[in-house]
Amino acid sequence: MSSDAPNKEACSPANGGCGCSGGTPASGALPPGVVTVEAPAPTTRRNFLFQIGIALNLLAGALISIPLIGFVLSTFIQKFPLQWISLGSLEKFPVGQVRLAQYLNPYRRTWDGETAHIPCWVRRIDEAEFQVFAINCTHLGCPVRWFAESKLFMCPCHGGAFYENGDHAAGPPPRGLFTYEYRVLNGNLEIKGGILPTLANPGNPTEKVKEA
Amino acid sequence: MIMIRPAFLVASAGVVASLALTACEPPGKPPITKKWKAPTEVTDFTKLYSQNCLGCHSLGETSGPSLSMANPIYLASITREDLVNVIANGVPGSRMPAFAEVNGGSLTDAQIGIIADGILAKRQPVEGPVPAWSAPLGNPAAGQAVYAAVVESLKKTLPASVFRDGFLTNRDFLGLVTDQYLRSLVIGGSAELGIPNYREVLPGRALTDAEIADLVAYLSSQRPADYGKPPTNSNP
Amino acid sequence: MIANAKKKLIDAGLGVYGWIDDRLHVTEIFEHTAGHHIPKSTSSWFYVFGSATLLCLIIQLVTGTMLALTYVPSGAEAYTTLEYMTYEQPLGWLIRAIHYWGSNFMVAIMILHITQVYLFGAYKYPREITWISGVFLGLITLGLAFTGQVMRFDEDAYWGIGIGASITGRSPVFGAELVQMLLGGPIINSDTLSRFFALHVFVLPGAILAFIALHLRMVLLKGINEWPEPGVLVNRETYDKHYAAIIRREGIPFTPHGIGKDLVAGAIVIIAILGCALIFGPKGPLGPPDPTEIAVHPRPDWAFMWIFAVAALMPEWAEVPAFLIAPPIVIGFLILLPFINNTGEKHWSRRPVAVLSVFAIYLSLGILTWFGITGPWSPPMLAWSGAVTPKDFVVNRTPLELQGLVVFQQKQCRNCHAIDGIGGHRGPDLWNVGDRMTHPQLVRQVIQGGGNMPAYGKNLTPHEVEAVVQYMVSLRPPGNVPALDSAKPAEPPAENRKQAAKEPAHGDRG
Repeated sequence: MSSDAPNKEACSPANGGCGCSGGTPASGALPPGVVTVEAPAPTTRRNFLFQIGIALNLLAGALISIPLIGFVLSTFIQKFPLQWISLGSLEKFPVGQVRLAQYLNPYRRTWDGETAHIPCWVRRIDEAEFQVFAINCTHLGCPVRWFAESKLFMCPCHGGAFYENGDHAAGPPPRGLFTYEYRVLNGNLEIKGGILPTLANPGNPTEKVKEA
Repeated sequence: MIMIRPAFLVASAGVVASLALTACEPPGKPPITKKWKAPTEVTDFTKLYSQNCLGCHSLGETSGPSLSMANPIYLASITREDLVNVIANGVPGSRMPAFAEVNGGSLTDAQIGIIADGILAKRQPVEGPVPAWSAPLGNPAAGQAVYAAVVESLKKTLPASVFRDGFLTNRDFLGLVTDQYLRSLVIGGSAELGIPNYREVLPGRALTDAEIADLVAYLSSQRPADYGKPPTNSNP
Repeated sequence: MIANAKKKLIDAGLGVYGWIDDRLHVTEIFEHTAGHHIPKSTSSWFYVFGSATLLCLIIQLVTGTMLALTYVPSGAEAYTTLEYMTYEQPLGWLIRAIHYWGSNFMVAIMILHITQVYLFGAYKYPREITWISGVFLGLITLGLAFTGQVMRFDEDAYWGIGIGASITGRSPVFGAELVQMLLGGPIINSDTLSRFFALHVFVLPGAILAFIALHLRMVLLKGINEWPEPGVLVNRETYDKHYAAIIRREGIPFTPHGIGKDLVAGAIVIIAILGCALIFGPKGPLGPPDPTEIAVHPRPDWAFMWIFAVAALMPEWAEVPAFLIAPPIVIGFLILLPFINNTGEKHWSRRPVAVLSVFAIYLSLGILTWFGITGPWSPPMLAWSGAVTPKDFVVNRTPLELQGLVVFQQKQCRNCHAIDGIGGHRGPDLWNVGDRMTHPQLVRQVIQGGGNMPAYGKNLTPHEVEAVVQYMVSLRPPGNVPALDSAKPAEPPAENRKQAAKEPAHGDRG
C-alpha cells in the first residue's frame, strides 16, 4: 500500500476527482504516473511473433466473420418467391359480397402456432371475377375491417378507409388496399401470396397501383 | 416535535410491505375473468346487446331510433323463432343487418340465441290478447280513415313539428321501412319516444286487428314505386 | 472484561479485513470508485435520477431473468406461457407487473435524468463522452422498451411489428430487403419473435451494460458536473483547474457523504414500482397473436404513443421524412450537441434557448402522447351498432328523421362521428351540424365525401340520403334556426326567423 502514496496524491480530489493521468489506478504493479511506451526496437523474435499474431488474428477474424455476417444478413439477401395458395372452395364466397378468408403462410415453421394463419378479404364481383385484398392497411399495416352496410374497409389504427374495390376513400393511407393475384383452379380460389405487403413490396406484380 | 427513529420507519415500512405482499388478493392481481376471450365466445347478454343492438334498439333505459326491445306489446307478439330469424338474417329492404356469421356478420348462432333469449326475458304479462306479430295487409281505402283518426289523436300529445313532411306517409320514410316495421310500430308504439301503442292511440278504445291491417295497407300504398330499386342518385 | 473481549473481536475483524484487502485491494478500489470525491453542491435531489435509472435497470435484469425461467420465445408457446404466468404461476403476475412497471419507471426517470443534465449544462467540456454514452444508453433503453412490448406477444405485439414493418417498408432502395430482415422472413412469424427476443434478452442488455461501464467510468474520470452558477463560464483552458479547486474546497466522498439522497430516492423508486405492480398489476396480455382475429385496436405502450399520434396527424408526403430522415438527424444532433455547444454558460437562467427547447419538447411530446392515448382518429369499430344516442337527439322527430338516425347508425357513420360526445371522433361531432350546414351542403358532403370523409354516393339510396340529411338538419340546439344559405339574401329577423325555426330548412319539396 505504501507504494501508492504518490499515486494518491496525483489522484487526490484536488486533481479533479479521481482522474488519474495514466494507467488503471487499481493496478498496483506499475509506478504511478508512468506510461510504459517503449522505444521502437529492431525486429526481434518476440516482435515478429507479435506481428505474425496480429496478422493471423485478422485473417482468422475475417474468415469467421464471413459465415457470421452471412447468417445475420441471410434474410436480407434471401428471396421468398410468391406461391399459389388455396383459399378454399368458391362456394365460400357469395357473389356480390366480401368475406374474410385465411391461408397458411407458405413459409411457416412448425412452431409458428396461430401466427401461421394469414387472413385476407375476398370480394366476389361476379361468377368469375374476384378481388382479393391483403388484411393490412396501406398506412401502417393494421388489420382493416369490412363493413357490408356502408361498403367500406375501415382501419382501427388511424381511421383509414377504403371503398369496396380497394380504392382509398379517406384517412392517411397513401394508396388503395394491397391486392393478391388470384386464379380459379378446380373450383377453388387460389391466390399468389406469402409476403407481408408493404409499400416497398406490395406483393402483387400484376396489380395497377392507384394512388390516393 | 416527536422524533421518529429511522429504525422505526424502516420497520414500519417493512411491515406494510410484507402485509401488502402476503395479502391474498392485491388489486393488481389479474383475476381469471380478465383472461382473453374470443369475441365469438362472449356469452354475456348485456355485453352482446350493448355492442350489437343498443345503437338502434333501446332496452328501456336509453332511447333508440328504431323499435324498442323493452316494449311489452312487441315482446308479447313476437316468437323466439321470428326474433332469431330477424337477428340472424336481417330484414331485406330495411336497415336491419344480418348478424349471423354465415351472412358475413359477427355473431355465432349461439350468441344470436343468447340475444334473443335475453330480449324475451324482458317479457311482461300483458292483459288480453295482442295482435299477431305478422299479418296480411288490409284494405288501403279503409286505412286512410284510420290514419286520419290516428293522426288527429296523436296531435294532442306530440309536438306539431313531428307531423311535417307528410309524417308517416312521407315517401322517403316509406321507402326505407317494411310493412312489417310499420305494423310493429302501429301495434307497439314507443314508450321512450312518447308514441302510444294500438290500445292507447285512439281515445277510449283499442284499434281492431282489421283497422291495424287497413292502416298498414294504406301506408304501404303510399310507398313510391321505386321502392327497393337500386339507387339512381337523382337526388332533390 | 467485556471491553477486552470487544477489543479482541474488533482486532480479529480488522485482521480479516486486512488479509482480504491485501489480496483484493478493496480499499483502493473503493477510494477510486464509490468513495471518490464530488462537489458538495452535487449532493442534491436534482442529482438522484441517474442512480435511480440504474437501480431500475437492476430490477429489470433480476425480474427479466425470472421471467425467462418460464417464457418460451416461440410463436406457438409465447402467448400460452404469458397466460400461465399471469393467471396460474404463483407470483408470476407480480414478476410480470414489476418488470412492466420497472420499464415504465426506467424510461420516465431516464427522461428526467436527461432533462436535468441538459439544463445543468453537464454535456459541456470535458464531459462530452459522458453525454454521448448517455445518448446511446437512452437509445438502448428505448430499444429495450420497444422489444419488450414485443415479448408480450399478444395482438398488440403482432400488429406493432406490422407497424414497424410498414414504416421500414418506406425506406428507399432496400425497403423490401430491410422488411425481410426485420421480420426474419417474408411474414411475421416465430422467427420474428425470436429475433426480437435475442435483441431484448442478449444484445441490448449486453450493450447497455457496456455503455453503463463507459458512462460511469467517465463520471469517475471527469467528475460529476458541479452545480452551475450563473456567470461562471466553461473555458477549455481553465475548467479543469476550476473543477479541481471546487473539489479541493468543498469535495466530499460520494460514499458515505454524498450518497444519502440517492439511497432515499432509490428506496422510493423501488417502493413505487412495487406499489404500482401490486395495485395496477401487469399489462395484458390482450388477445392472442392470431392475425385472423381482426377485432383488434392495436396500440403501442405509452413511451411510443407519440409516434403513433404523429403517424395519424402528419400528411402523407411527410411520412418518409418523419419516419426515416428525422430520427437520424435528431440522434446525430444529440451526439454532436457537446461539440456544437462545448463551452460557456451552464446555468439554465443564462440559457433561454435550452429552457425553451425543453418546454417545447415536453409540451409537444405530452400533447402527442395525450392524443395517442385518447386516439380521436381511431374509429371505435362497434359504435355503429352499439353507440347510444342521447334522448334529446331522438325524441320529437319525424318518422323520416328517426329513420335518418337508423341510416346514420347502419352506414357506420357513427364510427367516425359522435353525437353529443358518444361515438367516434375521427370526424366532427354532429350534435349541432344543423346549425352549420344547409340541407344541400349536407347532401353534397354525404354523396361526394371529401375533407377526409369517404363518398357515400354509390352506397346510399336517395331515400337514405334524404333521411340522413333530414336528421342532420334536425341536429341543432333547441331554438336555433337551421343553417341558412349564405348565397341568398338575409331574411328580415323577428317573425320570419321564428317561423323558420318551426319549418324544415328546405321548405316544401313535394
